[in-house]
Amino acid sequence: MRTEAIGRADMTSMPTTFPASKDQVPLRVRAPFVHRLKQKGRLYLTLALLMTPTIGGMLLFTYYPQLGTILHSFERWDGHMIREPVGLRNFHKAFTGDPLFWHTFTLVLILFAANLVKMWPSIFTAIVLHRIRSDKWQYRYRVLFVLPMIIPGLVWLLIWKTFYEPSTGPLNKFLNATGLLAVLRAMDTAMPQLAGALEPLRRSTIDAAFNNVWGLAVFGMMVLSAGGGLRRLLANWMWWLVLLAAALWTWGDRPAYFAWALAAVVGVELVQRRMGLAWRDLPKWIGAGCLAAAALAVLLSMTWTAPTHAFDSPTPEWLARTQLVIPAMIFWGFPWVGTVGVLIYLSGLQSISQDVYEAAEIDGITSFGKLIYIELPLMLTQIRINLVFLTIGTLTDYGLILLLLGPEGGPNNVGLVPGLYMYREAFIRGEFGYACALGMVMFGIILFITIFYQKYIRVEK
Amino acid sequence: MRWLNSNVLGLGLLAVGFAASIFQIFSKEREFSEPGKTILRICHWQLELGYRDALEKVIAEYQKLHPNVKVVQMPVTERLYPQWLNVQLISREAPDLCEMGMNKFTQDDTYMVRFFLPLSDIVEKPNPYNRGTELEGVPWRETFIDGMRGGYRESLQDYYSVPTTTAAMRFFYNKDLLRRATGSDRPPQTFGQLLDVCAKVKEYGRRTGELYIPILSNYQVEPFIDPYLTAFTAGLEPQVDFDLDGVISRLDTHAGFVRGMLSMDMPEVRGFYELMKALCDNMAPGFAGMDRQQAQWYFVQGRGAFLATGSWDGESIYQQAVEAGFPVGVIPFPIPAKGERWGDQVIGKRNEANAQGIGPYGVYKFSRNQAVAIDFLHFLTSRKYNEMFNQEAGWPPVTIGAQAKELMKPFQPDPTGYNTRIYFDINPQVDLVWKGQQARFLSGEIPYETLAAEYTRAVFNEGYGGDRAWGQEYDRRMRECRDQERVLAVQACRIIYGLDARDAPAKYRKVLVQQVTRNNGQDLRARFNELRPGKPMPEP
Repeated sequence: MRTEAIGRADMTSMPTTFPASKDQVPLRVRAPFVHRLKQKGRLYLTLALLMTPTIGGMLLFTYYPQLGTILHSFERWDGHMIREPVGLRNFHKAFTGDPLFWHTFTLVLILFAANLVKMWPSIFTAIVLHRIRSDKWQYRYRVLFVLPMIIPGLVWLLIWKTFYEPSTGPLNKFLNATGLLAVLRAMDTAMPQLAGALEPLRRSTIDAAFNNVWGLAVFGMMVLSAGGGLRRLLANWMWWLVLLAAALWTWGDRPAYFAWALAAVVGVELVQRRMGLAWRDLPKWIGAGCLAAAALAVLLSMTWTAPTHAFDSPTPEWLARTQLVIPAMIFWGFPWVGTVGVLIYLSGLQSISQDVYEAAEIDGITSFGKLIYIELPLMLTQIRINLVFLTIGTLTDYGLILLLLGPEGGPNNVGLVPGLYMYREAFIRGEFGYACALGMVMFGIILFITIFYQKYIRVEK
Repeated sequence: MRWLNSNVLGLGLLAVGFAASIFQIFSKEREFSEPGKTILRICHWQLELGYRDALEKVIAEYQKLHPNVKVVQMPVTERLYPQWLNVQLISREAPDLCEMGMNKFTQDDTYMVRFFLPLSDIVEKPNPYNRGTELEGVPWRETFIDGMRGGYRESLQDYYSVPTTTAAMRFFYNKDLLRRATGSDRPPQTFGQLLDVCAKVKEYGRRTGELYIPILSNYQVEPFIDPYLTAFTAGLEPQVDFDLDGVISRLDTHAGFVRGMLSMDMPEVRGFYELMKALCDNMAPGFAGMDRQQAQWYFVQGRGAFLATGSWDGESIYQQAVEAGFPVGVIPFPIPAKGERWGDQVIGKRNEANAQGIGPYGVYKFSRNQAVAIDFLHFLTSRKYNEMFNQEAGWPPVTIGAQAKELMKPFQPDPTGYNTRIYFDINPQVDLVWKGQQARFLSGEIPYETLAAEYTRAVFNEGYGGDRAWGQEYDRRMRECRDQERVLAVQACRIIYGLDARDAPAKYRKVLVQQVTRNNGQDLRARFNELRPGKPMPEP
C-alpha cells in the first residue's frame, strides 16, 4: 500500500524528513550507481576467478593447438624445421590429388551405417533399465553397467584381437561348435547365387527407373522430405541441399533421371493432396518403401556377389582377409551396449515426467506404445548427443584399426580410415602440414553434420 | 555409524584414488629430481625380456662409481616411440640419451644434425673404462666390432650415435617337434628341405589331431623379404644400378620400372613371390594379422616348428622354451639349393658384412648433462660392461673381446654373399599399396597377376607414384647439401684455428667431393631428366 501511495504521490508530497527505520525507506531510493557497480563487479570478479583455470586450460590445451592446426594447414611443415607457407596447396592436393584419402571415406560410410544400427541396443537397454520398478535393482544394474569402465580401452582392444585369432580364438571355436560356420559356408555359395539371380531384376527395374540403387535411395529420401509446401521446403533448405548434392552425384551424368525424379516427387505430393487426409501418409510409405528396397538391393545383390572362400577352412582369418576385415570391424564390441550411451539415454528417460506415463496409461497405451510414442520421441535430445559423438568417433577414431590391422590398415588397405591416413601422413611420412589440412577437411565435414543434427533431430516441445 | 552411507564410501574411494594418483605423480617427479645429484635420463623402446634388467644392472654399477649421478630409464612402447620422441625433440624436453631409429628425426641426416651431438672428436679418444684391458689406449670407435659404423653418418662425415649391441634375424626351431614329426632334430639346410619338414609337421598335426604350425613369424613376412629378395634380385644390379654406386636404391628400382628393365613378370620377381607364397602356405592361418606376441606365444607353447625373429627375442624364447620343456636351435633362413625348385634362379645368400651395431644411443644436443651422458656411453660400451649388459640381456655384444652368451653365437654376422636387392617400397604411398596387395596375394586371396597389376599401377600413378619419390629425394638432397655446407664451414674453422683438427682436412675433402658431385641435388635432377625427358621435378 505504501508503495502505491508513493507511486501515486507527486514530487510535492514527498517526505522531507528521514524515515525512522529502514522499513520506512521508500523503494524508489536506490543505492548509488558506483556502489551497485562495485557489488556486481565483486560478484563477476569472483566468478571470473573461479572460471579462469578452466578457461585458461581450455584455451591453452584445446584452442591453441586447434589454432596451430589451422595455421599449419596452410604450410608445408615437417613438424620441426621446414615451415613454408604454401597457401591452399594442401587443400588442393586433398581435394584433387589424393584419391587414397577419399577412398578412406568408403569404409567410414559403411561403419557409420553400421554404427547407426549398433546404437539401438544401448537405447533399448536404457529403456529396460528405466522400466525396472525397483529402485534398488535399477541402481544395482546401473553399477554393473558402469563397472566395466575401469578396464582400460587398450585392454578391450587386445581382448578382441585374441577373440578374432583364427586358430585359437573364441569366435572361430564358437562358430565351429555351434555349426554356424557351416551356415556361413553355405551362405558363401548361396548369397552370390542370389545376388546373381537378383542382378537382372535389379538392372531391369531399379537401374532402368532410377539409374542405380543410390538413385532409388535418393528418390525415396526426396519423397519422404516432400510435402508441406514451399514454406517447409525453405525451412529444410539444408537438408534439400544435401539431397541435391546426392542427386547430382547419382544423376549428374543423366539429367533425364533427375528431371523424372523431381516430377515424380511433385506428382506424389499432388496426388496426396488431392486424395485428402486419408492419404496423408502416402509420401512416407512410398519414401520408406523406396529406402527399404534400396537397402535390400544393396544387401542382397551388391554386397556378397562372389564366393569369398574365407569359410572353407575351419579357421576363418578375420583380420587377414579383405572380405572379412569389415565384418570384423562391424562386429567388434558386440553386443554394442556402451556404458556411456546407456547412462546418457537413461538420464533422458529419467527426465520424462510420470504424468506423461499416467496420462498415456489412462488412454490405454501398451508397453510398445510407450516406447514409440513417449520414450523414443522424448529421448531425441540424448539420441542427438550420442549421434554427434558417434559421427565424430566414426570419422576420427583409428586406434582400434591401428591396433588390430597395423598402420597400413590391413590387407588391401581395406581398413584405412581418414584418421589413420592422417596419422600416416603426419608420423610416417612427416607431412604434418598436409595432415593438418586433412584434419581441417574432416573438421568441416563434422561441423556440417553436427549443424544438420542440431537442426533436424530435436524434441518438438 | 549412521553417517556411513554409500555416498561417504564413494567419496572415500575417490579420495583414496586421488591420493594414490598424487603420490604416484610425486614419486615420478622424485625419480627425475634428487637434490645434489645429476639426473641422466635414457629412453628406448626395448621392452624385450632382459633388456631393462640388464640396463639397470649396468646403471647400478655406474652409480656405484659415480654416487652423484642418478640414471633413469624411460622405456616407451615400440608403437608409440617414434611420435613420443618426435614431440620430446621438438619441445626441447628430450632425455639426455635417446635410442636412435624408428622415426625420421633420428634417421634423417637433416634432423640428426639439429638434435644430436656430433661425436667425432670423442670417438677418436680411448674409452677410459677399457683401462687394464687390451683395448686400453685404442680409439673408442675401434673398440667396436663394426668400427662404430652403426653410429656413423656418411653424408655428415661424423658419428652421431653409439651402438650398444648387434643383432640378426634367424629361424628359431623346436628340436623336439622336429624329432617327433620327422624322426630327426637335424634342421633343414636348404629351402627345399625346409618345405619337406613343414609338410611333415603338417602331416604330424593331422595324425595327432593337434594344432602344429610349421612356420611362425614375429613380424609377419618382413624377416623374409630382405634375405630372399637379395637371393633372387642381387644379380640385377649391373642393369638396374642407374646411379652406378654399386647398390640398387629405391630410385634405381623405380627407374628400372620406367625404363622397362624391371617388371613384375620377370622370372626373378615372380620366382621371389612364388617362393614367398610357398613359405606363407606353411604359416599360421591369418598370419598377416598376427602380431609378435601371438606368434611367439604359439612357438613357446610348442605349437610351432620354426619362428622367424631377431636375436633380441632370443632370451625370452629360450627361457620360455625351457619352462615348456623343449630345446631350441637357431638356423639362418635357408635358400634354395641347385637342383631344387628356384635353385637356378637364386644367385646366392645375403651377406651380413655390412651388419652394424644396433641399439644406438645419441646424445641430445640440448642436454645439460652431455659430459655425463658421454661418460655413461663409455661405460656401457667398455669391454667389461658391454659383456655384462649383453649377457644379461641375452643379446650379442658389440665391443671387441666381449663374450656372447652361448645361445647368441649363431647370431654372429655371416660376411659371405650378396648385399643388394630391388626395393618395392619406392615411397610411402607406393609402400602402402604394395603391402596391402602383397598381404592379399600371400594369403591366397588374389592371384599373382592382380598383385603385379595393382603394384605396377601404383608405381606409375601420376599423383602418388614412383615419380614423387624423386621429388622427395631431391628435396632431401637440397637440405642435406645445406647441412654439408655447415660441416664444411666447421671443418674449415677447425683447420684455420688449429683446434685439434687432425681429421679435419680429410673430412673437408670428403664432404667437398660429395658437395661437388651432388651439387645441390642437381645430380638427381639430371638423372630424372634422363628418365623423364621434359617433365618437371615432382613436388615432394
